[in-house]
Amino acid sequence: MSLDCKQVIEFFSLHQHPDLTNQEKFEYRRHLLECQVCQNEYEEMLHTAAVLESIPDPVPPPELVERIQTQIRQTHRRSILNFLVNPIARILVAMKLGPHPTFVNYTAMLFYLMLTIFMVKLTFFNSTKPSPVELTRPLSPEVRIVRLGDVKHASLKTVRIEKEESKEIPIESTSNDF
Amino acid sequence: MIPDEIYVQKTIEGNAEAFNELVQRHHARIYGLAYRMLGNPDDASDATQEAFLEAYKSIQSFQFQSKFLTWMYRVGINVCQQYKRKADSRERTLTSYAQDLQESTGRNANEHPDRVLLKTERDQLVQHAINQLPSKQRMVITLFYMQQMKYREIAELLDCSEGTVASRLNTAVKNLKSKLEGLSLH
Ligand SMILES: [Zn+2]
Repeated sequence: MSLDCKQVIEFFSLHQHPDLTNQEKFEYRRHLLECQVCQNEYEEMLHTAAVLESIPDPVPPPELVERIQTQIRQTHRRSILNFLVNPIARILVAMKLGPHPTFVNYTAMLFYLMLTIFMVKLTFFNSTKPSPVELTRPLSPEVRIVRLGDVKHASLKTVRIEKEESKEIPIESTSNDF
Repeated sequence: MIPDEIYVQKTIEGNAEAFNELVQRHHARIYGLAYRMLGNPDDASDATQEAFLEAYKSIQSFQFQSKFLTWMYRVGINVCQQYKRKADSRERTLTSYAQDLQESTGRNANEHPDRVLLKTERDQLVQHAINQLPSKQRMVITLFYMQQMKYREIAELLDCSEGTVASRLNTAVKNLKSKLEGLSLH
């Protein structure tokens, strides 16, 4: 088995392909020992790797850890508040199913907001008196209400006359004579 | 030492201080990763903070099948990639200007005043060379040489085969070779 330099450089420079067989590894190594071109290439890569390993790890700014921890605490407090506000999210989390609690919370908040607007409208902006416009509005042509003495109402399609019955509610006389 | 996974369990149960212990333990490594990926300390700090916040919020999705640190690295890599994409669009003009300058003067970009970010010229030159690598190569170089991870761990982290890791490392070292040739080892 003969190897060309390109192959050696490709597969056996610094980082050996993990799937190489022992036989292949042996062949590559032998080529490397004999070939000056590949040896030079290998040396250069070795130097580059050493440079990469020699540069010191960057040191994080000292305040970074405190900054992160503070933000985690804030997020935690906010999530507790959400939990208190919305029991549905609590149940979903406990059951480990359903959408993200934040989503549930925002949906619930939107629902509460709409409910509040609706209630406010119902309480303050809904007059029970009919407006003057409604009073003068003509009735629909099919139905006319005619008042004739006792007659309550009549429709033109099916004439129906109802008499108002004067109901006499009999007073039950209970005799509780002692 | 209490294993990370105990703290993860406590975090899931609602203990934020348990998570802060994990922050204390691992922030330097995530910062190191972010620094090499993003190339400057400010972005690295912000990305580290964002990564831990993201991890805290999605701690429920931790499966206890891998190590916490591996999972944390994955979150960190995702955040860095998002940062990189944002920064790339923001700084494309600046970078090409710096490269033009470097080519026209034949000098190293580390002599450009905007690029004076690292303490020593040598570290700066290495970081600058890494910054110029394509994202995937930069990642394997960082994880293998700076974070001292093994092929298997990198492959798991990046969802690829160990062979891919090896060949990416070879390509990356080859690309860096010409840029770092003249550097001494200390
Ligand atoms: Zn050769």
